[in-house]
Amino acid sequence: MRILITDDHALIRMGLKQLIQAGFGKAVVGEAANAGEALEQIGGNEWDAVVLDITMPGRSGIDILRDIKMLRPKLPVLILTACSEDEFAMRVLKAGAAGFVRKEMAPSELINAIKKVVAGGKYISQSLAEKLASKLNQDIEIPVHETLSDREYEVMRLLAKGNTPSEVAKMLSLSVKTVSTYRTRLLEKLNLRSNAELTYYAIKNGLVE
Amino acid sequence: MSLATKQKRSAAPGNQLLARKVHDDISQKLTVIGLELAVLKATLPKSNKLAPKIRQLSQLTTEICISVREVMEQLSAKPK
Repeated sequence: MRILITDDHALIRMGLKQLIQAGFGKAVVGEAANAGEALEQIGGNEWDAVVLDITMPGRSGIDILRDIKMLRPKLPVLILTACSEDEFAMRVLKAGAAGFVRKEMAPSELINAIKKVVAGGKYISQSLAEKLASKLNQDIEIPVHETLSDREYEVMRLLAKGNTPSEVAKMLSLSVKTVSTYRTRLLEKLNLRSNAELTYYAIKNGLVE
Repeated sequence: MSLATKQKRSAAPGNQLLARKVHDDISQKLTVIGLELAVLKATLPKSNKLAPKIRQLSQLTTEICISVREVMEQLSAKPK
């Protein structure tokens, strides 16, 4: 296993090197203190993966990542950063990074992350995966009827089936006035005007048999 | 612009410097301690009686790192 560490802090490089050697036994660990040294090492030697601190002073970390990917498109680059995940994660993953580890989590996550990216996979922490998943959910269009409250939904289904407001009131043990309020509110939410339109909407969306 | 806003905005560069100092002097060294503890954890046999203590210190270091990062981010944030 040959790993190149790129970080401008000598002490961090030493800590990372010891951790990688403890985790992999016979690993060869190279060091680079800046982008220039990193590109030189990458151009001149074969590596299984690069661990890159993206918050090094000087050039933008993303630019360094792009340069590495241009030089060696298949070389997995694992990003280390002191920044919070959401700020950078998506941008570096889009720029071709194989994984993303926050520096504070490196002691517990780095070895697994390296194993994963060397095997050709992608590594993101569990907390980032959860954030990405919830973001994905927000992007999916939610049908309007899913925004109805449970009670509004129930009133909608009963009205769509052809029941009158007083029949619905009896079925749900509510006053007719309350049912009318629910009806007004749900018609507004669904952008409909009459019970006939409501029935059509419900059938079209498979909400009533 | 009110005096308070002016003071708030002029304080920002100082905060940036402070954030940089926290990053260079505290955060980096804490990260090194965390890494060293992880090395100790990986090399000590699990049966060693110091192993649980090292795990505990390791966890604590991670927690301090997270708190320091949060402080750093607040210091670097642009005043509203």
